Amino acid sequence: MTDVAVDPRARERFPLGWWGVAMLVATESALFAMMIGAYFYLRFKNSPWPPAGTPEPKVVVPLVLLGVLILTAWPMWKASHSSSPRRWLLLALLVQSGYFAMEVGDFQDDLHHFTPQQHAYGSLYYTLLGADHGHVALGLLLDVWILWKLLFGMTEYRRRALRGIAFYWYAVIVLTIAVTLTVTSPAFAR
Amino acid sequence: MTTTVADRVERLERQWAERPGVLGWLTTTDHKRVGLLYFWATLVFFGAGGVEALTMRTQLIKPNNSLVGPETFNQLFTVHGMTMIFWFIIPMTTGAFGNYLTPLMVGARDMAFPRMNALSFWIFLASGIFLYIGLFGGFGPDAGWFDYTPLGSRLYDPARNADFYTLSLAFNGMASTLTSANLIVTILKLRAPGMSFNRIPLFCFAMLAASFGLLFALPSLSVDLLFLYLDRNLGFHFFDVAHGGSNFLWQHLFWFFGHPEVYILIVPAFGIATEIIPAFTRRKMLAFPLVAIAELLVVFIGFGVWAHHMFATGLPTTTLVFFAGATSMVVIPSTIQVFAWSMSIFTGTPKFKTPLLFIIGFIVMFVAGGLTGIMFLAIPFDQQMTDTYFVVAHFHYIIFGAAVFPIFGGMYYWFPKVTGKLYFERPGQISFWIIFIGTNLLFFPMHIVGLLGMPRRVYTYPGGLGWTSYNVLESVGGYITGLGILVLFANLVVSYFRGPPSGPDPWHGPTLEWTIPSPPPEYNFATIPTVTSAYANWTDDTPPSLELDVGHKQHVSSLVDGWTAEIADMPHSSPWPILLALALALLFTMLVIDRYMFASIFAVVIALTLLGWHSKEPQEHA
Amino acid sequence: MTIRRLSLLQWIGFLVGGPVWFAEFLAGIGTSQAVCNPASGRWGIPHDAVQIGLMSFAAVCVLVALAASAIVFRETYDVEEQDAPPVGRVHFFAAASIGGNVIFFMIILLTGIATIVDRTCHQA
Repeated sequence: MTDVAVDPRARERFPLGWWGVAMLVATESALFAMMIGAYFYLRFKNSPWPPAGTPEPKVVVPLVLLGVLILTAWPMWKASHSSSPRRWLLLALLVQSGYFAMEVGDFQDDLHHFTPQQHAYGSLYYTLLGADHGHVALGLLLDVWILWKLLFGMTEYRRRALRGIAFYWYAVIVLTIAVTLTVTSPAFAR
Repeated sequence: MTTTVADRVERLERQWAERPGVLGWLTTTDHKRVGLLYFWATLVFFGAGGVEALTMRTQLIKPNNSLVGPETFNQLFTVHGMTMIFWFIIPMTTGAFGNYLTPLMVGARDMAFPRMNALSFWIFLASGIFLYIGLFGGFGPDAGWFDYTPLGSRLYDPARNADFYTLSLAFNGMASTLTSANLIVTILKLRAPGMSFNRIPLFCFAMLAASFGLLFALPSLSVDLLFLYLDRNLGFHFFDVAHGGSNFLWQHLFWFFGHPEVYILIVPAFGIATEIIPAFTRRKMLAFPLVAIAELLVVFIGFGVWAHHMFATGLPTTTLVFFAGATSMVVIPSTIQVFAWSMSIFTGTPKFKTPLLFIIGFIVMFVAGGLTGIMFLAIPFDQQMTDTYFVVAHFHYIIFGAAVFPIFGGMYYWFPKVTGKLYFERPGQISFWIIFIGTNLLFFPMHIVGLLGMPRRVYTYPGGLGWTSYNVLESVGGYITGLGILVLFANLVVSYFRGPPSGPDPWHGPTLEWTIPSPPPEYNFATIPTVTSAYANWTDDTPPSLELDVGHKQHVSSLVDGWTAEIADMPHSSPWPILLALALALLFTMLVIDRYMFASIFAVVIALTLLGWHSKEPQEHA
Repeated sequence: MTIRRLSLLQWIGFLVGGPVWFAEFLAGIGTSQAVCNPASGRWGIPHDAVQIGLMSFAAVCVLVALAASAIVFRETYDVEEQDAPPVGRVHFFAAASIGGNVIFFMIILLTGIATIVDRTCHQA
């Protein structure tokens, strides 16, 4: 086999696995865009929103938690570019898990006040948030998987997997920003 | 020590050989085998859809007929529509033609994600079996292929019919999403050295357009189906007006998917046409950059026209004019292509062999269907014609004309490449004429009977309205079309067993697949070619090539200009795709019978299967 | 003009028109729905003003993209469509983008004018 050299003119060299994650990000972003569109569509039709008897969404706690999640982009980036990724990954995983636990707690707490079976506001609120939390949960599983693999050492495959997982997390962060702003929007604009 | 060509080929044959027998087919990740699996499976579904169609045409051949009752008829037209769109056209164009040909045309050895490719096939197959179990069990979807709420809601569809609708489509959508992701990354990243964007074959531009369309449109359907499933089974209220929901929401989400979907149906077929025309007219496609961008624009602008399916719903014109305006302009890219194809045929030296005949038939029927489509953009006209047979005529001219004709033409065109045999030309031409006459007899009278007021989706109609004679013509046309299709497939089957050997390049075709043996070896290219044109087989120069003959190596290019970015090691043959598809099938089965606990268990099984899938890592490079 | 500058203009011509049109399109539909629905109708959105603003902004962006494509097309006029990258690719995208941007411009005008001229919220 002749040695094949990378062409120096090849400026774009993301690995195939990264492109696979990019395809996933594209399709999942469209998914969330449609759900957010549905939220505003029904919002245009219903007054008051939320309906009478349903508490307004909290603002401070969700935005603070959102800020914490955004900050985890930094250890994820460090993990995918560092020579000792495990400690950065562990830090990210701990903070992300904490975020997830708090969100699940809030989710359960909300269910005591109103349910998705009560009205369309509830249906959308819980579906939108549930989908977002589901994507966060998937990210946590990916973190655990790559952390486990890295316990056995670093390989090119694992390095690429880490890049892909970091990209997935950046996308989840952006989607969570959109979702959080959407579900807290009634507090900003009546 | 220098290796001879024979040594290299022998090594490649050994390394890329498939497991023998049935196990080899069940664990294959080779894009050609996956493409063939898709081909045969979609033909079975095509047959089922055809039987449904002919049953309906027989029921409608005379007024007040009682071959089938209204309930059965509802399931027939619903499942016919779903089958033809989701289990025939999409998987045939993207799964069969797309998978088989795309790596060959870009100079690759396989798709970017071979195991995911196999997975998409097994998911597609499982989803079709799932749907038909529902149909044969008496729970076939029965509220139309777009299942409008409230008709599809629990109130009006209390049994499992609409649940089979939501779940089978969601399941099938996964397969299409995986296929489109695979096609995009393959076309963007696995091109041979030298294949910059302006040198990508037009067929691949078409696949790229359709794949981007699927990637961004399917989520809208998925959300819609999720919402309906939650409404029906967990008491949510997305579509329940009494609790703040809206039936318009179903329609908007559906058509935001549905309209791009219909362009996705025809764009790959455009791609087939843009390969057949140069081959049989001995000239390059006119206005290459415009045809390439037109294929992308049809799908892109097609995302902006969805509510032209809702002109009769009472939405404000302030909103609807956006869609009327975009609809009028979406015609332009299609027209650019029609002119390019027609002028290429006129100014070339056409050889009217069967593939070209089907393409000419396609152009004729596509123009006819396109003209009636433009008529619909006028809101007043649309409001008169909505839900009449005029609509049925329009979309069948488009779908049959613009999707099915090129598929048939493509079957003939690439038959020598896939089988190594030539088909028999005379029966081929006869099959074309029978099908062409049959489809026009079947679908043209529908325009008239629609203008005369016959609604669509009716299981029978009274006599004395002037509709009967047209229905008779249509049914006869249906039988003739069925006959023509049988002749076509009989010809292909006989040719497979008795046809003369074709050699690698019987047509002197323009693209790379014609440079390798017929049928192609497992590794496709013994040496990866360097490309200097989109018509790589028509260029004279022989630039240096890549010898990748150790392991399962694949050239990976940069995104835009096709420079060598790396050499990747590809997976080869795996049991995980079929196992994962099986686990998913069981998950969906649990969901349709409301066993959520078991569904969760299968979700865990799916996670474990994914772990197994990713347990073995590719070899490290030295 | 250097190939780097040509390439940049080519990407502007190819990548700006579509997303700008689509964003304006969705914003325009969203505005008309917001104005014509019961709950959001009470927000007092000035329909025609917003639509004119959206249309103007999008039209200008698409014209800029069209100009960029046209400049590159003229600069690479002698290049063959199958020529080697980068210049062959640049010419290809420029030619393709002219067609796309013209169509986007027409849609923006058609839809923008129609939604303003029409009686606001009149039911079809």
